[in-house]
Amino acid sequence: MIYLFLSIAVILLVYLLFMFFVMKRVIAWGYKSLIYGLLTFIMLVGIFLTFAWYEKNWKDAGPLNKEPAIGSFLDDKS
Amino acid sequence: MRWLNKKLILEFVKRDFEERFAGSVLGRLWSFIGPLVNILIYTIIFSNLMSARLSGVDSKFSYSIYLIAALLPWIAFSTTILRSTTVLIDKKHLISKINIAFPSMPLYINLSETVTLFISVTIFSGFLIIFGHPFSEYSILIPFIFILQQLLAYAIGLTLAVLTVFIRDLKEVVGIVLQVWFWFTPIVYVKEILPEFVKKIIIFNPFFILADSYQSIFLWNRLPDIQHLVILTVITFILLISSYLIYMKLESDVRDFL
Repeated sequence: MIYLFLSIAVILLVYLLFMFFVMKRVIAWGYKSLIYGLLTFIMLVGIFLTFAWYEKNWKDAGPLNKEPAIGSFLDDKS
Repeated sequence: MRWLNKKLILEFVKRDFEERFAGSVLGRLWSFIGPLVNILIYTIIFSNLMSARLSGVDSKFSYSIYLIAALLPWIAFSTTILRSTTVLIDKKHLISKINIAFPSMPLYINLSETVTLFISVTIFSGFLIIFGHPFSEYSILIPFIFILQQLLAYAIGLTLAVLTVFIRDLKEVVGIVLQVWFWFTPIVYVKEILPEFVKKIIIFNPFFILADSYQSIFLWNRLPDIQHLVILTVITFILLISSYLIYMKLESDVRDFL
């Protein structure tokens, strides 16, 4: 779950940094609102896809759920 | 013209709250009491008196959670659209005096309703914690689905606000459409009871995707359909751009009509 939290934190951090950067720039308000919208769109899609990725790849991939390595002591040698 | 005048929008949001509870003794406390009483009523009536249960969920409050999880967002969504529809006509005295562009007006209503929704959902979450209902990691998704929902409401609200200036009957039409929309969305009933052909077309109802997502997270603690959410995000942004273009095209005519 730590990967999920980290990914969300990174997406939000990048989003807020870009928003702050755009806010400080002197651009026409029409373009500015368009960039805000585009950034929000990318942020939302990024968050949704992160959850989909988490569900598919990370959720059951904890150390206790891993397949035993080849030749480990859990292998049945009999 | 600066349409994203943050200070002015926040002042509008503050004033909207003050106007709503003006003259009352408890003031802003009413914004907590209202949702609290609503949640209590739904819980007591459906869980205790009617003993309504959902199959597959081992909880006495299953139906109440199912209902409230989608009903609170619906109230915010429909109220935002309904209030946005008439905002330009209602506030025409302000528009003529203050140098503010039209898109700010539905925006302050949107923010005001989002605050109300936030208060309601916080109280609802408090209830779930008290009753020992488990939360999953998917709960983190809820604020992002709220953002998507309110962006959709804003896009619809801005378009309707501009069009209502020319067609005043739209206000009544929107009220009726919202009623039909509510009953066409599985909020009070479960989607499994719908006929097969309705199940196939209900996916085109945007609020169904939102309601289903809230119910999946709050009640079943499972991940909502991400594919549907991404499609809805794309549609919402197409609607946002369209509503902005409609506003740009009709702005000068709207000022003349007001």
